[in-house]
Amino acid sequence: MSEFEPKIIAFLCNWCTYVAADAAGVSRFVQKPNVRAIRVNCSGMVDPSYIVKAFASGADGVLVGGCWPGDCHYISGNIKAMRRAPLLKKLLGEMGVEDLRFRLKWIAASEPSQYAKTINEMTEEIRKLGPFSRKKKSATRSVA
Amino acid sequence: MSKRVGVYICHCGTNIDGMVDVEKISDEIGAQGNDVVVCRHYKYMCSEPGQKLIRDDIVELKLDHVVEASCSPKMHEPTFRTCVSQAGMNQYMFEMVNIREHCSWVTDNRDLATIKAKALVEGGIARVKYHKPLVGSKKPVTPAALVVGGGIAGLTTALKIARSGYKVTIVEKEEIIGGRMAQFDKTFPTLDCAGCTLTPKTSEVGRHPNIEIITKAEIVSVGGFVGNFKVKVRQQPRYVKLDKCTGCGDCQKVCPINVSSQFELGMATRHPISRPFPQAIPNKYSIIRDGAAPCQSACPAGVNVVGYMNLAGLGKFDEALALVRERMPFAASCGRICFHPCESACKRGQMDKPLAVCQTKRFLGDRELSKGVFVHPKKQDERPERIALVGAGPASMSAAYFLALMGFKPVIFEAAPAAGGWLRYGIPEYRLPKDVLLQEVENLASMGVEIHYNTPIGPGRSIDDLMKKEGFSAVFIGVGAQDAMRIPVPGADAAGVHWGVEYLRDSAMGKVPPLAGKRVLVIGGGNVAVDAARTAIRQGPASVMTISLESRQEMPASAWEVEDAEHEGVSFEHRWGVKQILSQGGKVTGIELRAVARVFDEQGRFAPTYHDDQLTTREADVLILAIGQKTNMKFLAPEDGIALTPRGLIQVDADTLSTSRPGVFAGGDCTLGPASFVQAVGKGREAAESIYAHLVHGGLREVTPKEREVPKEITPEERKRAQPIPRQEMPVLAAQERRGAFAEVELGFTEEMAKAEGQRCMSCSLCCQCGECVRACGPVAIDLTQRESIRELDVGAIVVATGIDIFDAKKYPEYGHGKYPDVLTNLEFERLCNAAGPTGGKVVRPSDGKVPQSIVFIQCVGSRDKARGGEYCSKVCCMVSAKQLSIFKHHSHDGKAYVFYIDNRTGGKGYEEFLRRAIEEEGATYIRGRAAKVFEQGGKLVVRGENTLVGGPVEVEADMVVLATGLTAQKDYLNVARALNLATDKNGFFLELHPKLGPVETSLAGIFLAGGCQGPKDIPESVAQGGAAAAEALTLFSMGEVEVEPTVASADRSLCTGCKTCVSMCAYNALSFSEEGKVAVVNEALCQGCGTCAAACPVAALRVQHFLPDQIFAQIEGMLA
Repeated sequence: MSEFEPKIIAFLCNWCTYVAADAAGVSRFVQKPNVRAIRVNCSGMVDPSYIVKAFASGADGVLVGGCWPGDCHYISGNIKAMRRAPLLKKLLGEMGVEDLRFRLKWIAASEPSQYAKTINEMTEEIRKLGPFSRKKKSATRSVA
Repeated sequence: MSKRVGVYICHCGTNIDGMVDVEKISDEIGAQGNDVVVCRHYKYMCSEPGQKLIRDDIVELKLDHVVEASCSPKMHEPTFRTCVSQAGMNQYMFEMVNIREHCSWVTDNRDLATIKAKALVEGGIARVKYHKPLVGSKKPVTPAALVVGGGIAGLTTALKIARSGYKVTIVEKEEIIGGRMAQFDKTFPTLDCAGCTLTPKTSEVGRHPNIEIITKAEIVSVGGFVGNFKVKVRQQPRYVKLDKCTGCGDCQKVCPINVSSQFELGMATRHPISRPFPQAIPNKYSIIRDGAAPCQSACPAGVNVVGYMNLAGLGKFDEALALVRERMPFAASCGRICFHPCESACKRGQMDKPLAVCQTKRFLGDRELSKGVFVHPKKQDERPERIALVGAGPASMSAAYFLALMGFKPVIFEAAPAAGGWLRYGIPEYRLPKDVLLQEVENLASMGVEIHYNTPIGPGRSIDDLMKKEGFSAVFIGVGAQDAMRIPVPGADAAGVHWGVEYLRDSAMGKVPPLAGKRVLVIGGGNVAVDAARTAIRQGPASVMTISLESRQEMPASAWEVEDAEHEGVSFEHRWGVKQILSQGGKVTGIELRAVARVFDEQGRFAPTYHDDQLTTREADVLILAIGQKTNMKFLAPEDGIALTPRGLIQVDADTLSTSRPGVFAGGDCTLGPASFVQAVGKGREAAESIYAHLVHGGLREVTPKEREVPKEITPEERKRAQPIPRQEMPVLAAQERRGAFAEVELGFTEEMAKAEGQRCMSCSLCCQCGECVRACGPVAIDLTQRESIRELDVGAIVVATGIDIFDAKKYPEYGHGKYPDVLTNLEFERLCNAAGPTGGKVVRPSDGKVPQSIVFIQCVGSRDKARGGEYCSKVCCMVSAKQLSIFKHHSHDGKAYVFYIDNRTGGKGYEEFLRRAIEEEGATYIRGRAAKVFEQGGKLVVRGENTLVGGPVEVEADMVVLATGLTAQKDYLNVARALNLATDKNGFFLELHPKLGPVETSLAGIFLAGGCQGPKDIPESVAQGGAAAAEALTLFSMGEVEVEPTVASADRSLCTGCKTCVSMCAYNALSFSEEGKVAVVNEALCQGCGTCAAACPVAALRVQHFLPDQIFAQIEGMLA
């Protein structure tokens, strides 16, 4: 395996994108094996520190998957996630994380093929970017 | 503190082990120590021996945490949680890792899959060590069910739950229940009538006291959790009150509109007020309306154009006029002078020419004037309040009309000696004859409207005086824009210079010096300029020329006015601007012009620039400058307290038209700037409604939401509806007769012409709300003012039974569906056979009504075809064709039936026997092979295909071809999926929890599936699944309570700084600020555990149990290690 295999952490909403990922499995939509999914109740629960932590721990990309605006299981958690994202992107940029490495995507439970497509595209685009070099293990434990 | 973690990895037969080297991972993890006491792998971890393995280890090895890696937690998390708790461990000390759906099933490289699976397991191990024991609470189940979809599956579910004594609500998209089965004729394999088996069920559902049916409704969203769902339902208006309608059908007889019936798949028409078939449940009528037609939406006064045009088409002119009057009291005037945006919006214009709406309306108004009897709606009981109206222009006249109907006493104060405002003093007589206007004003006065002429309002008798001294309860200001806009042009003070609006007013009053023999120049490109030119040419001048800044295309004047002016002899010059007015001895001799470089800037704003080196002159004796108009606000006194906008217009609230002074309202030009007659009339009505609300309810008017508009693009359906009648051309006065006279140019429609125009309407809104049915309905069941509404339901369980759609046969153009009328889908054929169908059950050709002698059935249209349809088998079509050919043979014994099939798939009780009978007894010819093409030859349809059994091409002549179209997911499946958070497969069918063991459950506890929405099914299967779904719901109800996960938020008092960020974040009001402790407090009963607050808390004082930051951090580290 000489080729660079990016590591991507995905925070998936329990009600939509996690279900889409399961459904993609049931439909056998083949995906790049680079994503490690963490199930969360809502995209709105993903604390920016989780994303910073992932990059600090060696992730090359982070995906947050939530319900489409208007479809949130918790009324509007996804909207909060959406509002948070630009600020977080700015912060990540200052840390040297390229824009493409962090993504917030709306993937409904009914869109398993969209999930697989997102995974595959993201993996390949990050592969092109190369590894994220700032490996700072145990850097942000203090936030907890 | 060291932990004792047990790790268990499942092979899932070969599901996981086939792609992931489970043994290798297990060995590596087992060897690494690091708190892992034991790591085992097993063929089927979820089986009893697998579970026992875990239970025994917990006891013997004193494990305090367990990680289990297998399928999705959505599948078996409850299983293993129960398993560990049976061994005495708290179930939250367990973590499940998904290495099947998320890894082995979606990876095609064993090495990479193994690496990924190991990382996922490592993440689980790292995380579980931070898990804390938690205890959930119990919540009661709401013992009521929601069934989405009223087809045979949903009905079965609903009946079973209702019979068990629980409440059920059926939400049905269509106007009736019964679903697809209601469209079928007979059912296989018994050939009993679908209606005879279905209708007893629908009628039982209809009258069951535990069942409520909500028709024309869809699910918007679902909140809550198993046992306690909150569902939002959007209901489209039915326009017929179910509790009043008796189903007598009197309404249907008088409905003038015919539209294609969806229930009959377009093979028959229906009235917008109708019911699909006589036995339908609810056995009540309903109206289909798509929304407001473009004409109605475009009308500033909101006149129901489609309604009165259709009434005119019926020759019901009185009713048509009454409908116009609901929004436009002055039909004869409006029909003459309106700029008719309705006609510009008319969709028929995309086909040939728009309806002559305006002229038809004028006919309606003139017809009444000629009869000399003025009819207005019944006035409400008289009220004591007197309302003053300032100005007798269109806005005030309209407001006065509607106020009079409401029972008020309107009093108009007009400065001029006659009423009408702009209509009287701006619009030339050849467009609006004075006697027409006079009659409209007299009609208004006859309703009890007092009009005081030569009575200006202003300082001395101000609006303040009207309210304080003269006792008016409210005032409406409807003053127009009748002052000319003047620009400083050198030489403008010369004799012979007139200003547009003032010239028109003076002409109307007969005060203009004769223009005989004079050369007249009109400057301006708007309608006032054209009106001035056309007025001047009637006063006997030598010539009239109009000069505008704009090119012909850019001119704001109505194109038809410009054309008429040219006919009458007015000449036009474009793209010249005024430099100076030339005069000699104080008299105008001409004008110097400069060429226009551009009129509008890049943003399209009016900002002309000139070429100052390109000059020219024109000689003239009279110059009319028509460059704009404005309202004279001198009538406002300081004590009135009425605020103006920066543009110098009266400031009003956009919805209620109230000014800055309570009780004073304003509308028309004085609030809009120079606008149109029809806009002023619209504002007058709105103001009247606001005044009513102000005086009667003591508040501001409730603004009803605007009805949504139908799509602007003409549809094929509408083209089909359009009757081939050309637009009626308005007879006009010959051009030579117009000069020197002010006789009306447009002569008006005849009855026949008005009727013909009405019949040209395509009724784009479907129901036109003409009110014919309302007048015919004895029980007063029809309410055309209904609007879409939202309802909220509290239910414990939801059963989704939204059914299937039929594959679109047009995706196989070679079969000619839609091209040849005798190529039908199997559902269309079903309607042909049905006794209640479009032919009354006669199987005849749609093209010529003849009985077909031979029918070819083509199988697998849209099924088993990955390229163009579904990859899947639709399961029912083989039997459907066998059934349909049997029905055909029973209708015509000598007929021949052919079937092009790929495989005959007739699994099911009695199915294969039925097929054999179709072949052996009915003598159908089965040809194995996909049909290639259907074409016409010598007036006959020919099906060409290949017989793969004998090997060779085959052609079969047919009178009719039936395509065995497959079953697909509903077109709007995504809306349902999104509203309910349901997962779907790639074909759009909803995903069950487990294809074998959880066929009616979904990954969402408390939401179940039934029928075709889960995959193609026949009726017995749908019924069986409907029953199974009912059993699931009933299980929930009899359990009585559900466990609520303890994964809610908690606040750490020692960290909280009291910033209240979280309080504003929470969508459930579960967070509050304690004034006592100055910290945030969580109400755990309200908290849903979404964690939005935790993510927002700047000091991490809020956390959601089981999703603590150290747990997530550990999982991240573990996965990336």
